Amino acid sequence: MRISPKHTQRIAIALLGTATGVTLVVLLFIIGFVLEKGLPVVSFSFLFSMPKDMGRAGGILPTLVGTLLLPLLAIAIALPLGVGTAVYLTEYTRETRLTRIIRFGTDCLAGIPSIIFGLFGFIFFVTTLKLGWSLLSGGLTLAIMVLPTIIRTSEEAIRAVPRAWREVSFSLGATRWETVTKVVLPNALPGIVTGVMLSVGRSIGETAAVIFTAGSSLRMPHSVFDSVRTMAVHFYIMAREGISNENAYGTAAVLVISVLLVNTTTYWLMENMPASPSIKVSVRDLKVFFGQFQALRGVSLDVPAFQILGVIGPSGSAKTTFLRALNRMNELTPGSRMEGQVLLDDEDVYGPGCDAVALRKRVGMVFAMPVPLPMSIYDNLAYGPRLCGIRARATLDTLIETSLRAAFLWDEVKDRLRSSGLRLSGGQQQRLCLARTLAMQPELILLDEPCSGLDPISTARIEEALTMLKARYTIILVTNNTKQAARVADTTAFFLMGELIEHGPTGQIFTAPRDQRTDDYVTGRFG
Amino acid sequence: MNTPASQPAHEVPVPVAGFNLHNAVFFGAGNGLNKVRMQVADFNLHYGSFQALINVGMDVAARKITALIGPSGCGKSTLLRALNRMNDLIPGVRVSGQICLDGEDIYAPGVDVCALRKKTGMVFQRPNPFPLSVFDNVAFGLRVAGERSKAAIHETVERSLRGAWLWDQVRDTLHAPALDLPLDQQQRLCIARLLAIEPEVILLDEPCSALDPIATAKVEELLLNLKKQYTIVIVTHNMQQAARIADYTGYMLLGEMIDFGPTAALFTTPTDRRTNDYLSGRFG
Amino acid sequence: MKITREQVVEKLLLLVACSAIMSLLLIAVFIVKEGAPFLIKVGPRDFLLSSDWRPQEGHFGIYPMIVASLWVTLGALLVGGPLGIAGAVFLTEFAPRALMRVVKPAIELLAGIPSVVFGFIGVMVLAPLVRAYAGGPGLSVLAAAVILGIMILPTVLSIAADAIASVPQSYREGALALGATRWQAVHMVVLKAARSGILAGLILGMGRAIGETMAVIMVAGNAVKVPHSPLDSVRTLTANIALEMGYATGMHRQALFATGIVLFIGIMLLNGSAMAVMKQRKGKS
Repeated sequence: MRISPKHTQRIAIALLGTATGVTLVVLLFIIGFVLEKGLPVVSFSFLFSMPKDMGRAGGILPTLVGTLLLPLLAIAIALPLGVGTAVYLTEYTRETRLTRIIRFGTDCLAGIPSIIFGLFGFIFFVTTLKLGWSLLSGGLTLAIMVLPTIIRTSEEAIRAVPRAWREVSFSLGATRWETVTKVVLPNALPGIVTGVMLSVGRSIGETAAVIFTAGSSLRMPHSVFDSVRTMAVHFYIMAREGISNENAYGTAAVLVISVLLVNTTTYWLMENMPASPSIKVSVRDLKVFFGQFQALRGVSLDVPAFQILGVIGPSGSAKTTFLRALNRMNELTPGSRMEGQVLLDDEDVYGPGCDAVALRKRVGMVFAMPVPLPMSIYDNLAYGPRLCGIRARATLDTLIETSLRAAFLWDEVKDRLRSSGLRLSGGQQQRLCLARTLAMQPELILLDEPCSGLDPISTARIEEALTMLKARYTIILVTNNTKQAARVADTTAFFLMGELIEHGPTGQIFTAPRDQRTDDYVTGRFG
Repeated sequence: MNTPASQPAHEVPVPVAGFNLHNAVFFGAGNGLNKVRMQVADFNLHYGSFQALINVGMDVAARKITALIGPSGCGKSTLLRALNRMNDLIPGVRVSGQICLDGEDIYAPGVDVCALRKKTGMVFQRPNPFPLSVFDNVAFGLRVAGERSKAAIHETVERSLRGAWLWDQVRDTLHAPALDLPLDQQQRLCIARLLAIEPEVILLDEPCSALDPIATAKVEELLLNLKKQYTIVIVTHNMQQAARIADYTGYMLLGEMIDFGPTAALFTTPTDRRTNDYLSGRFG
Repeated sequence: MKITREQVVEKLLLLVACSAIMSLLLIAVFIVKEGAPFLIKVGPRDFLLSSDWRPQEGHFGIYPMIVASLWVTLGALLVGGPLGIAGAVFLTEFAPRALMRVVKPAIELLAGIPSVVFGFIGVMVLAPLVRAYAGGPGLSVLAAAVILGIMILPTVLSIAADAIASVPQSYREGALALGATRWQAVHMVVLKAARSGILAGLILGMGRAIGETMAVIMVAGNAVKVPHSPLDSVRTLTANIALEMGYATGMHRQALFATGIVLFIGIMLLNGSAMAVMKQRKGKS
């Protein structure tokens, strides 16, 4: 009789679960064992006094210092080399035979056992370079040992930096190196730190490579040419030569705790590295008054980065007022007043340090009616960048081409960039305005019913452009056409009479609104 | 199977009330008896707080092709995956209402999901042959069911590959990796893999979206041939495809079944304005 | 002027980028330089296949150490392999996601426990157990294999889990849609698809086991003889180097470096095959 698949599955899961349980129990036992035996020994004086009688009595201070200094030195040497390599591999070269060799070398280096590093460090740094058993020899050896880790994690982190940011930087006239130091590395920092922490963890626990290069002197080191003993080595010597089991346990406990601390921090960093959709714009209890009339009645909502927020509502519901509050355009209307907060990247746009003009360069806006300036297509697009001081012809050319392409207009106008922007059709004009906004390299794009004056085909074009653009920009779209919001928006906000009635994922707003009024509006009962 | 003894199998289930107009046509004026194989009634499905299907109702006629159309995100794939409970794999899914296969509620407690899925085979959007040989792919379902006899497996594999019109292309390379086949043959291999377990209903989720027009035509022709033996439900974003092969078509929008009926009727005289808008290409 | 600065930066970075490969070459060159003269003088045959290791009298045969390294490594694989793979399958396919999120990092964190600590546990806890229940000296192949097996567990588990998790969901769906149970889907399709990744994890774990030094010194007993049973005390290649390096001079020291060459080549072969296996996987998908 064949056992039924159901039973086989049950047996299999039970066996697998047991195996996992055994693994966990064993590993936890090891930690528990060391801590239970060692923690009672650990005290302030154990940590911070000099050892006596070869470690039989007294504390572990010099080994604590050694354990601190050696990894630090190793990182100081390996970090520039590792990050430099990663930068070269990612930013300065394509896949060539050389990069393949570098990668292969890195992989090989990662697999070499520590005793070989010990042998090498001993013969090269200690003997050949005559550095002796010293902090420096040990640091150099450990640096080579952790180099592959740093290269790999840095490379991964650098690759994770969006390509678009580099393009923006280049298009603003930065050189490759400036782009690397100002845009790429700061954003890859958490990943690089992860690599560093992993390396520190490995250096702290290393014994074989250290004992042959840094020696095992129990004295306090005074220069990089002095020999040091790390906690791991100290523990090894005490346990192996049976000097003092008690102090060995104590050292082991300190060692295990420090490694776990370092590794936990690393893990925490890795978890928090790819910042989950961060909030680009955060509006807090925003109220706008025009004279006596309160147009916006306390609106709060968050817009995640790289998403489209659709704002819908009947006319007169203050959608546009809301939009214009985000780039302080309402200020241009006399008698207007506002309360509450608008945070762009956690910075209050109404704060005292925020300059409205600079703000409007970061926040692009496209209006309901296309308004090309009475000049050529090219100059329309170059207008904003020129205001920001970009004059280099080549930079402007690329910037303009990318913007036109992004607005799906390039193919239609590439042969007549010098003709007037006013000669374009309505749909083209609107896409020109969109391209003009893009040429300013904004972070946030506000669109105020951009399709209200357009035919369905032009509308479809604009919508297509918007869905492509959200990969790089955060977009807020005010529209009278609820279907348009349903088609392109990630989240939708429904405004009525100056109030935010409901804000949520577009699917939910249109299929399962929580508020009856939303339901009435999206199903077309009024508005 | 767990047929409650008290519940007799329906030969012709009573149509569920609350449908739209076309059901009258469907049940009344059909040519003879259209046996209903699967029946969806007042079916709701939530992903967490989002409701993906809203009071959906539909009847799937035996040995006919039923197509589900609608703009992307309208819930047509979700509905299809509800028919063989593939949605169970997604955490946070809740359902209410009824889906019956031959009169038995497939969401009733105690239903053997594996057995259900053997009866309602599924073909996915992207061809997904296993990273095994062609032969092992087709034999997979039999082995899952515990078939050991080599002769029986071999016979079924050949029959299934013939059924999917693939035998002549692969008869000499049965033990080559399935992933080396061209895309359209991979998709037909996935159909052959299903035929081997002799399902009662075949569910297809946009099976041609990854294929070129010629390969698509071939798969369509195959489906028309297969409906002599099998009941077929197909999700497609291609309205012409629905018009070409489906006997019945359902139009879905934002989780609702807007319109359902014989294909010709739906395409020529849709009862709902939104169906008309969609068909005439105004949105979607 | 900017352009020239760019060029300088690029040249400098190229130089830096070669640091890893330069280090690798340097290591190879220096180990070979120290060990090769000895190998040539004694001859690889006597060195590798003789069981006579008495450095003071000029006898340098490392055959027992090679056998010991292989025994210990295979033993570690027998302990760590099944547990690691079982854990990976359970955590990725059957455990609730919340459990996976807690347990996998916990196991990976434990990969950082220094090897001397593992060795010490082996001496204090495992060896007495082996002595009491299986006989022999306690410090033995068996003890070393179990300790190394536990040490490589996190490596095997996390690489295997990544490989299993990267199997496309469509394979699982395809199998389930044909009426397979989850377990059938896993062992008939998913594990086959993840085969090369799991293999790579095992090979890397093996590399770690064969190169491990301090833990092995502490638990394997260090007797220079060809083992006849898992309860015999043995000395591995790595242990031999570490134990005698402290006082070796002349020929003896060269012999130890030659041992290093053997180890180096062995590890390179293992890692090379792991890389080849991984590449093959990448090519397929």
